Amino acid sequence: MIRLEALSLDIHDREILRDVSLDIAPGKVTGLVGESGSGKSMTALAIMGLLPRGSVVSGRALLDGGDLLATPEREMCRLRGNRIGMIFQEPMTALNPVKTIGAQVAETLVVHGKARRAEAWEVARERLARVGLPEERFALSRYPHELSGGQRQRVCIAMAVALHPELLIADEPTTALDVTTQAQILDLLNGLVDEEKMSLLLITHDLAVVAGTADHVAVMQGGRIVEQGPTEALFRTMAHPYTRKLFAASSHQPERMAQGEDAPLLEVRDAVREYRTAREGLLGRPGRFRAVDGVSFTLGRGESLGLVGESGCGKSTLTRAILGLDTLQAGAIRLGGQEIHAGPHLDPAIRRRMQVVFQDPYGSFNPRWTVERLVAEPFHLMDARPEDMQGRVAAALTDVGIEPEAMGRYIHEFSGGQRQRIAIARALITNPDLIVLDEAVSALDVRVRAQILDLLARLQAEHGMAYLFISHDLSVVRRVTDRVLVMRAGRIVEQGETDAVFAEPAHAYTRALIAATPRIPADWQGGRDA
Amino acid sequence: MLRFALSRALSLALSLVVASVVIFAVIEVIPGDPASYMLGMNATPEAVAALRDQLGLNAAPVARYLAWAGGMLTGDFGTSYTYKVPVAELVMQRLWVSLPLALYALALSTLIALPVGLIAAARRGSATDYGIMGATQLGIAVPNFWFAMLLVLVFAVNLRWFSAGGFPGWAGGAGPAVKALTLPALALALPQASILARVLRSALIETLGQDYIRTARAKGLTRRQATVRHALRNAMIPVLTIIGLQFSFLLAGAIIIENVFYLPGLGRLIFQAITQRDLIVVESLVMLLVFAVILVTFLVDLAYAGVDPRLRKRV
Amino acid sequence: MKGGPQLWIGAGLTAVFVVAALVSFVWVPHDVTALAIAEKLKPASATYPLGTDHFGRDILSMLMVGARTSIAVALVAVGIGMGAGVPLGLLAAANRGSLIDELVMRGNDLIFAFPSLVIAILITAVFGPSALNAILAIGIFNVPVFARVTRGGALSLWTLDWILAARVAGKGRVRISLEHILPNILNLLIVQGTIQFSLGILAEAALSYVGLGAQPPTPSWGRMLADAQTMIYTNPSLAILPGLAIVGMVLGLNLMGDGLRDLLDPRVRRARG
Repeated sequence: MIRLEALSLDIHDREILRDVSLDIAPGKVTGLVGESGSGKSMTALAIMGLLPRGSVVSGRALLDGGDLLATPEREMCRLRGNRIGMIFQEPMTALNPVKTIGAQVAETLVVHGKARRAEAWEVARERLARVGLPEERFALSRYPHELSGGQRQRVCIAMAVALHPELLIADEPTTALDVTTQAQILDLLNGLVDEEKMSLLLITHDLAVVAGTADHVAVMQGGRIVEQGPTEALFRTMAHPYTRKLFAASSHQPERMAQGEDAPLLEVRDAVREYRTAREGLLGRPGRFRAVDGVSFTLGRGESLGLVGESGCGKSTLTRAILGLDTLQAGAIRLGGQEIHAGPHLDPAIRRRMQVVFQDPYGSFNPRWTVERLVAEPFHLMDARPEDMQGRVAAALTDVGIEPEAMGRYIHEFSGGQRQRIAIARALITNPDLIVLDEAVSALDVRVRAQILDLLARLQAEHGMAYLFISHDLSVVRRVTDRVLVMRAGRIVEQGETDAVFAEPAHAYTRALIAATPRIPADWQGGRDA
Repeated sequence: MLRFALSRALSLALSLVVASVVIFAVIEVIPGDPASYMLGMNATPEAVAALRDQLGLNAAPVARYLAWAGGMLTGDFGTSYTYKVPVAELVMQRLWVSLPLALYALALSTLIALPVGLIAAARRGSATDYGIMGATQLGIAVPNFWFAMLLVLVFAVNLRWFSAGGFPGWAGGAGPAVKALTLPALALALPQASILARVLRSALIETLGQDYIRTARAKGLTRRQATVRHALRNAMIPVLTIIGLQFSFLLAGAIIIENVFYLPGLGRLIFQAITQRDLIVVESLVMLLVFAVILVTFLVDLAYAGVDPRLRKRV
Repeated sequence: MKGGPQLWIGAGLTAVFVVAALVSFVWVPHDVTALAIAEKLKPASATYPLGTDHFGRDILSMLMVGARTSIAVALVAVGIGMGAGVPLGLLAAANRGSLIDELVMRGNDLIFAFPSLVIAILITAVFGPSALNAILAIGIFNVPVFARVTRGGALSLWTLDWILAARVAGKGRVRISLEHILPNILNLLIVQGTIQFSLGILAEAALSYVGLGAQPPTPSWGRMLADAQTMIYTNPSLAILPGLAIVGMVLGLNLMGDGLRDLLDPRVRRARG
């Protein structure tokens, strides 16, 4: 279908791709795996002829013998959307907010002159129904903001396949979606490949996703394809060390032992938190939305407790209430027997017993402060700043594997993984009993993630603090927690020992979550000992 | 949509009430006794008393405010002290100069700015773009009343294409009237067009960087198609804000420009009223100007909802 | 060059007028308050580099002192706008959605309905015209501008995790606003300050032109233009020079503002790097 021959790309004299050669076979799913910055998205954009300004390409991208890289723009416009379709990672922003979904799907046909307006709408109706948005429930006159992320991704797919392209490029199509939605979208893509005899180039960072979907896999690192082959064979042999590292990291099990004590540290009793929804103008009445609906659980000293749920299930709201940032309407939260009342009057002595690490390593720090000042910020909770403040900051940094000399530097000088280490140092500085890890490893590449999980396990063994590990990623929670809570629509639907819950989930929702989580078949792991 | 419009209309009414209270307070309450202010230092106590009586100043401020506001609702703006005619009548005559002038200028400004901004954004980084950006930078820096003087100097004094000022009225047909308003409208429009063109350019460049433009390109739209079909309408949202804001600048600018061209509009009336200390006229005119600005804000809000479906709620 | 050539051209242009205004405090070529009818409407010469006006006053001296008036009015007006607008904006953002936020924002909307010319008209109608009048009118109109910019910038910061981290560290809204928010929106405020400064120069000129601003004998650029208008047929240079001064000053400030934005906005910087 498409053959890349020695594709190389430089953008503003920076090397992005080197000698990328790949065959995308007709009617098959080709997986392209790599960490962020490996060049996998740029490979797709090169095929589409949508590279950013300042790009210099060499090599060839052959479609039916014609080189796409040498095809004039006018010609490429006729190919795009017609013979090659593409969908992107972020469905929330991928659709024009001021046009209806029907118009946006029909547009694919209209701009290619394949149909008149009325026919185009007819096709749009049929395609939207095929991707799971039947007109009875999702009128063509709807606007993107009236749909969820998964539904919007379906609209994008309908748009991309409206003209039955021979190749669909999907760039991290499910990364921004919840795990159950991800499973549905992957199913949909697989179904379309079969029906339409279409090729699919599936770009992802997730080995488990390609393992379950692709016929052929190529692994990218630093702008090069380091290994490629039929999926099962590649996983069984894993000839290249990078592939093995990636694989090991994605299923990495930190060495840790259960050490929770029975003495309760954090007790949440019947917590309720409601939000007022936006008022519709001056005349409208605000609605109510119950984000946390009668949640109760206990976290023991030194325990690792997982809190799992999909976006919008209320786990962030619960976190904020535990941290004393939001008030509860009913129920109580106690830390070490003392009740947490949100707001500025919360006793600093309670507050310094719990700290937090957030998801986004890029948004967690004031860019104008030095690392020393950033890490020392929780000292605000002490009655007086300790005299050996600098020494304690240095010790905390050393503890997380950052050299203390970094104290005088600013945060933009650090990588994502290093930033997350600094965030952990900031959380450690007050010697808390509880650290809330709010999706703390979700934004990291798998290898960095494995290192941070090791670090967390080591710190817990040394300092004995408890973790509340909040994540949407079941496979991670499974590997690092003693007990787990499953949350849905503001309620805890299931809780228990992690191993027991994963082995024999009692609640239907838990079962659905586990079933939807992609995994690499256990008997494929042949290359591991190499 | 109806609900949205209603709630906006409610806040429009609220703004008008608050604005009228502020204006009333500044003009009639803060100076102490408006009557002696209006008559000046040399007035006899009898004259002041007579005027107080005539203006109804002996009533309590609240009652006076209600009478004034109630009067305006029925089109009664009071009687001018100096002209001895109803203010409404004065305003209506003058409005036929100022309003067409402001609208003419708004139309010119939009007509100039849209293509210019579009071209600059489409040819971003080219010599054309740099030329346009330089010219608009200059256009923003030029005070409109000075630009008006330059226009007079070139087109009236030297070339004699237009008259240097004055207004023939609408009775003699639209042709001469429009011609008399052309230089003033141009003087008003050019600085505003410069701002608008720059806003449109940056709004377009920003929308062209959005994910949905990439999606559109992946569907096979050319750069131009993506700009026209997807970017333009989204870029209209900030542009609308500026057009709304500009209306108040144009109104204010019109008041000043009328002085350059000796046009018998609201601007001339207001300055005459200030010199003659005719507070009744000043008060009503200020209220009228503020009403116009608030009304335009309301219309812009409705236009937003027309452009952006996220603001319309399904009812 | 950091910030691009426009920053330096703009700064240079602005500096010319600022220096002229500062020098005028200690030295001007000729006294601008003394009338010398015998010297009226002289063309440019060694004694009068830019000629004289209808009262025989030296145009260059008038322009220098006029720069002082313009800059003083615009600067104080920006000060008023920032002094009131920034705290209001911070307060509104820190209490997003609360009654305070609503009050601040509705108050802003209300002031926006009064263009600075209208405020000047109101004040003049009651208190009579003066330069102070112009300062107040422009200053009041600047308040909602700064309040909005501050609130907008602050709101986008309040959603960030590092602010949550500060709250977890027990810091209150005021402390967070001062320690974390304000320093990070300073860029925004500097750029907006430059823009409002140049708008202030334009507004002062317009108000003085219609007689609502600086009163004679205080020289001001707008006043000079008003005086020149009647002589535009005979002495067009009298109408051109003050206008050029306004354009130069405003252009300088705007170029500097754009240059500063490019320099300070990390998004633009990243796109370049």
